[in-house]
Amino acid sequence: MAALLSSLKTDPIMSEHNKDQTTHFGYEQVNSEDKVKRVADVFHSVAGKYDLMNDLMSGGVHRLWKRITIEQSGVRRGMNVLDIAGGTGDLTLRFSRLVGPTGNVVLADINDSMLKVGRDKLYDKGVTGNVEFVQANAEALPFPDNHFDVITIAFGLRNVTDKDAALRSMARVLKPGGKVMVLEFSKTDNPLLTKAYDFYSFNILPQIGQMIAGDADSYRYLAESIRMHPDQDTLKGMMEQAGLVNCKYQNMTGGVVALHTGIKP
Amino acid sequence: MLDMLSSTLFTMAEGSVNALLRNDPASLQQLSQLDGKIIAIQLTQPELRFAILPNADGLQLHSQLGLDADVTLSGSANDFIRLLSSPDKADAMFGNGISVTGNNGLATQLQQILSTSHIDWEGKLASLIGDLPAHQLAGFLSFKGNQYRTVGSSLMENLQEYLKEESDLLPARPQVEDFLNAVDTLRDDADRLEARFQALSARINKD
Repeated sequence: MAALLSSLKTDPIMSEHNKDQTTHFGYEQVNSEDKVKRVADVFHSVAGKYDLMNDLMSGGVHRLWKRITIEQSGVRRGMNVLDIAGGTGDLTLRFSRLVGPTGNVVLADINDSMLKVGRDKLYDKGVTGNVEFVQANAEALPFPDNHFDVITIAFGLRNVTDKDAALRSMARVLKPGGKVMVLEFSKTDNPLLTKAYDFYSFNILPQIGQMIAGDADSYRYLAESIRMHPDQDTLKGMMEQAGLVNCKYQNMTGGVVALHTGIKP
Repeated sequence: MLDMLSSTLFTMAEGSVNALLRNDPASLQQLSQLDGKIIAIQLTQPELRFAILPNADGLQLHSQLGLDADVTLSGSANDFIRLLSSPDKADAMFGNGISVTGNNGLATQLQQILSTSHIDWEGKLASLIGDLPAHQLAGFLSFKGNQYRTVGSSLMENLQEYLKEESDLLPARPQVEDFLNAVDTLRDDADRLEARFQALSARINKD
């Protein structure tokens, strides 16, 4: 639940779109452009409270999921790293210290409010010199071919309109032998956990959203969008279709979140 | 591979240490001078390996990165507790407990930061978890440290004395420090010479 908000970062918000330019907004079918605007508005308004919301909604567990992602990234000194939908810079902050002065980290997000909050936060923590901030759409990444050693997208892919295009774009800018890592909400395999998770998502989460951000509907959407996201095996297949190999996933917290990884051959 | 439990422990440890450090801006500022360095810690008892990345914000802990480390400090948990609690940090770092592999200069810098920081771990812990638990924890650690020293130190001291004085196999600490200082001076001299050489080359090329 933590970075539910981050799901909104990569717009347009929906999980699927069709030829009539409509798309899912959670369980609704809506016009893509309207959704983009609604989502962008939500994110402009919540950017300042984003970290607080993540901690509240996940009980801090999002930090553990992100730590595991970072540890398994294999990021080392001198590497080039792309953090897509990087939001307020949790991953970028740690990556910047791992790559050191000889490496480079690009924090990319489609939402400029999130990007500004992330940039200010990183500057306040003394991170300068090896981090760039780029407003970019994951479906058409503005970087050269074969450029990055590691690409991460944490709680962002779910909201990309054309996920296949985004995965292909990532594969293009990744160096041969480089790694794509997708951290995203997924499907739990335990019926009891699924029931508890559903209750939390559709009853408690919107109330937290109402209290903190004054917007219950957006948080209800976030819960719905998680259900619309491809399950573990489907996403693994999509990564393979994008040209990545050795694709695999690791469930965390009973499958509430899954970390997918793939290598560019 | 890091699992949820290890991830939790690392996250909690990092949060606690950084909460302590935030109360000591002088130490934080000194740590920021080590920004970009990787210090690997190899615990023998219990067996655990992790890496520390110092920065202006505190310490960033990682379970891997051993290969990239600038310096590796190896020893038992007791040795490291002694390093934190002993008034003589140089002895705790370069004495008979912790072995230093890699950039000795970095280890010296770390030791100097620990020496000058005067972090009262018990006092800082008390502000986080309360006076009584902190005192009990510090007392426990101190007791374990003393126990270790009284049980193990006489044998180690005898062995150390024999190696240093009788067999002349190991240098005395002042000798080591003199040697390290001489290496530092030599390195600085070499750097200056290189800079001078480059400046002269640039002038020649310019002419």
